[in-house]
Amino acid sequence: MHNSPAVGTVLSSEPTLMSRERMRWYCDALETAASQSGRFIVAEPTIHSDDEFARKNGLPGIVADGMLSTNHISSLLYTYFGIDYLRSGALTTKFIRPVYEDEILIAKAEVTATDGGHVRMNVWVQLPDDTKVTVGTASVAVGGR
Amino acid sequence: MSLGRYVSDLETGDVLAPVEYVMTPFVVREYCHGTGEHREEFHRAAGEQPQLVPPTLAHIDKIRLLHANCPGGAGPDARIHYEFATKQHAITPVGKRLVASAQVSRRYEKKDRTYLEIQIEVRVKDTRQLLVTYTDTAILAFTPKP
Repeated sequence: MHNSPAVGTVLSSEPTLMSRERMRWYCDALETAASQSGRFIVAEPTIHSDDEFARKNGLPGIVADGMLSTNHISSLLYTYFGIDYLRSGALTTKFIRPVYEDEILIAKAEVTATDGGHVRMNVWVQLPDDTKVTVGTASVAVGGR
Repeated sequence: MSLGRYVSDLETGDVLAPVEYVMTPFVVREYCHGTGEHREEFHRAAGEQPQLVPPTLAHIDKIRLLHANCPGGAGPDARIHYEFATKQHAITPVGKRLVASAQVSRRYEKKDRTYLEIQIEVRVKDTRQLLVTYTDTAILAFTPKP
């Protein structure tokens, strides 16, 4: 774990395939967790799980929930900052391009400043050809500050 | 006040009815399963070390609030998530009863699309300790208006 990376350091995740199954698992898990009944819930058709539903809404097919990209970034921040991130992290993500089935995603964070115990970063998720699909910023107060 | 039907009915200033729930080990495990976060600290529910909660779990608070306040669903078109912004103020405790509250902070038009911004905060019910502030922005339809 690297608690205070220098300005300019780029953190990177392993590549992840955004499969149809991963898109659907998130939808079902979100509804199952939100219900709190303990029963497994299959989510209603959404743009993330039903091609026909997605096409009716102007998309070429299903697209991943943007929160999957956000969670790739969040997981990367936890890898590097650990409990400090869970205690004090700020994370903003903007979904600038849909993520389609079988695209490969890589989460990255570049340290832009370290001030007063805070590490500030630009964060993004990109495809292998460097196309960005999600962009944003993050900060973490390191060392329990 | 535009509550009680569709998310697409919501207007600036609408205050959503709060939702209360216990942050159970199941909720955390299920969410982390769905995101592919399989590290043990997010799944354990026993032992000396507490189960940890990812900040992104606040997304469920939005879902809970919209289910409770807009039982008709998104409205005529699918809602597209546009921006997620959270600030964690303390570690979210597993096993505590929490309260999520929300207000529609902005509804606006940009490039022939309607955007809806909701501000959410999550607190421990008993102590009122602030855990998370979360601003969520959605586009109410992917296809721009003609």
